Amino acid sequence: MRVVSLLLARVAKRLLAALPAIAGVLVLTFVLLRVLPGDPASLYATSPSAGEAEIAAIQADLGLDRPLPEQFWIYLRDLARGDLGTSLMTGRPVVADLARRLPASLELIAAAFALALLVSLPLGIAAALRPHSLVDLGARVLATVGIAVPTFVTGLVLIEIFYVLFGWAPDPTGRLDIFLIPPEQVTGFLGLDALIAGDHAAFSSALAKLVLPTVTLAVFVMAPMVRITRTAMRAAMASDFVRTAEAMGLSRFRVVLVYGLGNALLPVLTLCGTVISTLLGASVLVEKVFAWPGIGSYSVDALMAGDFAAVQGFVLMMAGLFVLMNLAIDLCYRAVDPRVSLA
Amino acid sequence: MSVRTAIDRRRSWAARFDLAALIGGFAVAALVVVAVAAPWLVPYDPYASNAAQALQPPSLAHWAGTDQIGRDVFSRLLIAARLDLLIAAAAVFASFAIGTFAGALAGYFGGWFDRVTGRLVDVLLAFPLFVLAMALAAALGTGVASLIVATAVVNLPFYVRLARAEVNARRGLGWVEAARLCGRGPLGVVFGALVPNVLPVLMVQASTNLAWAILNAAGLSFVGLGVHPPTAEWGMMVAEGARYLASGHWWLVVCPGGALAAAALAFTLLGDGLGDRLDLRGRDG
Amino acid sequence: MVSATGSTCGAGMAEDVLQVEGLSVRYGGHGAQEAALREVSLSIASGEVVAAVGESGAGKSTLAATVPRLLPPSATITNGSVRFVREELTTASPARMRVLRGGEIAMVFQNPRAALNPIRRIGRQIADAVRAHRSLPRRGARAEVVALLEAVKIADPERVANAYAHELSGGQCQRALIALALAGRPRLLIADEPTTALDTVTGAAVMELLAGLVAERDMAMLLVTHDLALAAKRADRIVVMKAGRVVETGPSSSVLATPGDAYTRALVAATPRTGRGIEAIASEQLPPVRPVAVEAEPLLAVSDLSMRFGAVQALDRVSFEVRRGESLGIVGESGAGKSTLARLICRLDDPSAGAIRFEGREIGKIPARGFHRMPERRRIQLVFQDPGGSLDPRLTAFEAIAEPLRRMAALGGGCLKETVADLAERVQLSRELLERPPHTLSEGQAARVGIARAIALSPNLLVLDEPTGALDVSVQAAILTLLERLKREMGLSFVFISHDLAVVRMMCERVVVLRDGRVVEAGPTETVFSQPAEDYTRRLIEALPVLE
Repeated sequence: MRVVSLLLARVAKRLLAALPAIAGVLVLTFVLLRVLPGDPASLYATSPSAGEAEIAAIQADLGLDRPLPEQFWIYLRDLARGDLGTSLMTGRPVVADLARRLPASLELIAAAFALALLVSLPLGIAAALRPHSLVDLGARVLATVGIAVPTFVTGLVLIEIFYVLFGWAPDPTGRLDIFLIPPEQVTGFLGLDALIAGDHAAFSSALAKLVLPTVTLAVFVMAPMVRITRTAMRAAMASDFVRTAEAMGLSRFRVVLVYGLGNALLPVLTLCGTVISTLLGASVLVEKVFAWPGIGSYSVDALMAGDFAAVQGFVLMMAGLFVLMNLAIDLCYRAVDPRVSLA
Repeated sequence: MSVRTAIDRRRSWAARFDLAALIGGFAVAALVVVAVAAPWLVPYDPYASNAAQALQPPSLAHWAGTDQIGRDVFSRLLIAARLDLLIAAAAVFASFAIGTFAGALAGYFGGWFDRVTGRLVDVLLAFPLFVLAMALAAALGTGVASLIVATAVVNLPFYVRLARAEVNARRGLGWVEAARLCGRGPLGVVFGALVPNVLPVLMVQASTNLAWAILNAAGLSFVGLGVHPPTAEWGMMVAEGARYLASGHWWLVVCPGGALAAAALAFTLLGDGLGDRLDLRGRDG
Repeated sequence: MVSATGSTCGAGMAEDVLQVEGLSVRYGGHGAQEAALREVSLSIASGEVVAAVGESGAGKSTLAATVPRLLPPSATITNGSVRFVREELTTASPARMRVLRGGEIAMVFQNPRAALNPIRRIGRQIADAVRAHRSLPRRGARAEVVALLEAVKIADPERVANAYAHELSGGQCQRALIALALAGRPRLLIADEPTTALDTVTGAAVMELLAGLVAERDMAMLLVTHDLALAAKRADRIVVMKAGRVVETGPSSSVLATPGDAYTRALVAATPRTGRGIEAIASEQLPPVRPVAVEAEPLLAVSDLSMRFGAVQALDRVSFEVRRGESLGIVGESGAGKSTLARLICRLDDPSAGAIRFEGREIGKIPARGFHRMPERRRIQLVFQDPGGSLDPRLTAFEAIAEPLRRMAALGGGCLKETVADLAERVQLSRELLERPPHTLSEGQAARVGIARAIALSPNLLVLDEPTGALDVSVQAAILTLLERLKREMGLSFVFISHDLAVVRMMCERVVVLRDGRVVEAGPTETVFSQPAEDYTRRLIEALPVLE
C-alpha cells in the first residue's frame, strides 16, 4: 500500500513538474499554427476562385477574426472540453479521427521498440563482454551505419528487396490485406483483435503486414541503443564494484547479470526517452512509406491539405504521448535506482 | 604465442576502425568539394527534361539513370549535395553558436538565466523532435530558410544542454579557479578559459549532428515540407522516386537514398573518430 | 582460538599462507609493453601482517591484484609463481580461482563507496558473498549477514543491511566491505590502501578493526600502503618496492630504523617525523629563517567568518590572524570547512557573514565576482590541492605561468619570457618543460608550475590548500622544501591547509584546529601538538601514525 501511495504521489509530482513544459507546448502549438505566416484561412480556400469575401467568411467561421488573446482562450476552452475542431479532410471531429488511428501508430511503435530492445540489448552486452571481437565490430558497424540510413530509405529499400524483387512480403500498404474484413475492434491492435475474434487469416495477414514497417522503424533506433548498451556495460564491467564481486568469488553469471547489467541498464533507460522521441517522429515517415493508417500518415495528409485543426491535434497528441512515456520512464528509473528516491 | 596473436588481431581491428574515421574525414572533404564545384562537375543540366530519355536505368551515359521526365539523376545528385550540405551546415552552425553561448552562460552563472533557458529547453524537448520540426516547417512555410530554421531550433536544446553540462562540470575545477586568480573576470573565465576547453566536445557533437541534420531536412522534404519541386534535393528525389519503385525503377530511390546515407555516414564516422581521439586524450591527462 | 597476536609470529615459525616467488607481470599496451612487476618474492605466514610499501608506480597494487588473479585483461603474468598454501595460483583454472577468491583469499579496496554495488542493498551483497562459498538457506544467510556486520563493529547491523552504499558514511562503507571480505571465512586478506580514502580518525579505527580481525581469526594480511608510518605501526614485516622490484624486506622495526637500501633510506628521510623541522627532510640547504613581524597590524585578520550553503553551516564564526612572514596551519578532517575557508580568504566566494581584513583594508565585502579588478588580487594567491588539475589542459606550462603576468602586470614579449624563465628557475622547473602541455608533466612538475604561477606577481599571502595531498612522499619533501625556501626568500606568509598533522607541525608556527566549521583550538604549533587542550585535537593527533 505504501508503495502504491508513493507511486501515486510521484506521478502527481512529476505531472506537476511537467506543467510548465505542457503549458509551453500549448502556447507554442497555438503560436506556430495560428500566428505565423501560413494563414489557415487562405489555405482552406484553395480554389483559385476564392474571393476575399469567402476567406473572410472562413476566418469568421474559425474564429480567426477575433483578437489573439481571445482566440487563445477559446483554444484552451475547447481543448479542456476535448474539442480539437473539425477536420477539413474528413469532415469529422479531429479527436475522433485521431482516436481511430492511434492504435495503428501505437502498434507500430510498440513493436519497433520491442524489436529494437530485443536486438540491441543482447548485441550491446555481447560486444561489451568481448571487446575487439567480431561481435563487437558488428555492433559498431550497426551502430554507425544504422543512424546514417534515413528511415524512409530503409523502408523503400526493404520494399524493393522483399516485395518487388522476391515477393516475400505482402503488398506494402496498410495494416491488413484489402480483401480481408477487419476483425471487430476490441484493443485496436489488429493482431490481438484477430486472435480474439479467432480469425487466423486476418491474424497472419496483420502480422505479415507489420513486419517490414517494424523492422524499418526499429533499425533506426537500434544504433544508439546498441551504442549506449555497449558503453554502459563496458563501464559497469570495469567498475570497482564488479571487481569486488569478482574478488568475492561470485559466479560469472551473477557478476555479469546482477552486478554488471543491473547497473548498465540505468543509462539505457535514460536513453529510452530519446529513443521514444525518435520513434514517434520517425513513425511519421514510416507510416507514409507503408501507407500505414496511423496518426502519422494522417498528419502528412493534413499538412498537404492545409488542414490546420488536424495538424494541431496531431502535434498536441504527439507531445502528450511523449510526456506520458517520459513519465513512465522516470518511474521505471526511480524503481531501479535507489539513489533517486521514489518520493 | 596465443597471447601475442590475440594482441595483434586486437590492434588490427582497432587500426581498421581508426581507418574508418579517416575515411569519414576524407569523405566529408570530398563531399564539400563536390558541393562547391557541383555546377562545373555536372555532366548534364540537372533541370533539363528530356521526355525521350525518361526512366532510363543507370548506364555509362547516365550513371544514375534518368527520372520520370528524363533528367539526369547523377547531375541532380551533385547539385543537390550543395543544397543539402548548406541546409545542414547552416542549421548546425546556428544551433551550435546560440546553444553554446546560452548553455555556457547558464552553466557557469546558474540563477535566473539558467532557469529560464532550462524551461525553454524543456518545452522544446516535450515534443518528439521530428514532430516539432514538422510543426515549425509547416508554420514557416515551405522553402530552404524554413528548413534551416526548423532544423536549427529542434537541435538547439542539445547544444544548450551539452554546453551547460560541460561548463557546469568544470566550473569548480582548479584550473578554472586559477584563471580567476590570474585576474580574469566571470565573463573572461567563461569565454576565455571554459568555452575553449569545452569546444572539442561540442565539435564532436556538431559533426555527428550534421549527419542528423541532413537526415532531418531530408525527412521534412520527404513529407512535402521542404523545397519546391523543380529544385534538386535528396529527400524530395527519394519521395518522387518512391512513386516509381513498384514499377521497378529502383535507382530513383536507391541513388538519392544512397547519397543521403553516404553523407550521413561520413559525418558520423568523422564525429566518432574525433570523439575517440578526445577520449584518448582525456585518459592520458 | 590460537592466541597468535601476529607480532610474535616470525616468517619461519608458522606455515606460509602465501608464497610469491620471482613474480613478473607485464602490461601489454599498444605496442610497447611495460613491466609492472619484476622478480617479486615475498611470503606471509598465518597470523602475520606484511606491508608492501612504496610510492606510486612501485607495483604494489599490481601485486595485490595478481595474487587473486584479478589483473585487467591487458596484463599478463610472464614469470614466477604464486602459491597459496602450496597450491599454485598462476596456473589454477578459472573455476578453482572462483572458489579461492572470497573463500580463501579476500580483498579490501581503497575506495569503499565505489567498491560497493550502488543499486543493491548492503545485506544482499554480503549474502551474495556468503552464499557463493557456503550453502545456507535464505534465513541462515540473513543471520550470517547480521553476524558479519556485528563482527566489523557496525552499531546498527539491521539498518545497515537494509541500506544502500550512498546512505552510509565512508567508514561504514569500508566496514561493510570488510564484512563482505570476511563472508567466505578467508585465510588471507589483501588490503589495498584500505584507509587512504578515509578521514584520519575513521581510518585509524578501520585499521584497528582490521588488525584485530586478523589476530582474532588467525588470518594473514597483505597490507598495501604508501604510508611508511602506517606500515611501521601495523605490519610485522615490510616489503619495500620501487618500480616493480622489491628493494628491501625485513621486520618493520629494523627496516625503518636501519634501512639497508639507499631507496628505503631516502623514503624514510623524506617522511615527516615527530619533533623534527623542515630541515630534517629538506632536499637542499635552506636560507636562514626570517623573524615573524611584530607590527601592530597583522597581514590578514579574519573575524567571525561564517558561510552557509543552504541548510549546511560550512563555517561558523571563525576568527584568526596571520602576521607577515608567518605560516598558519589549518587542520581538520574532511567537511571541517578548510577548503571553504581557503576560497573565502582568496575571495573566490562571498562569505555569509564576518570580515576579512588584509593589509589593514576590509576586503570581505568586495564581491568575489569583481575582485579580479582589486589591487589585492595579485597579493593573495592560492596553490591548489590537485596540481595537475589546477592547470588549464590547453595551456603549456609557459602559458600557465605567464597568464597572471599578462593579465595583471601587462607584461609581454621578451620581458615576459625572461620573467617566466626566472620564475621557472626559482621553482626548479627545467626550461624544456615550459613548452609542454600539463598532461605530459608529472605531479611534482605540475605542482612547481602551480607554485610559479602563484608567486609570479610576488604576493604577500599564499594560501596553500593541501598542497602536497596528492603527492608521493619524496616529491612532497621536495615541494615542502621549495615552499619553505620561497617563504624565507620572499618573506611570504602562508595559510597552510592540510589534513596531515605531521606536515603542518613541520611547516607552521601556529595552528588552528577546525571541526564542523568551528575553531576547536588554536595556538602555537608545538603547544597544541604536545599539550592539546581539546579532546578532539588529541584524537586527531593520536589517529595519525607517525614515524618515531
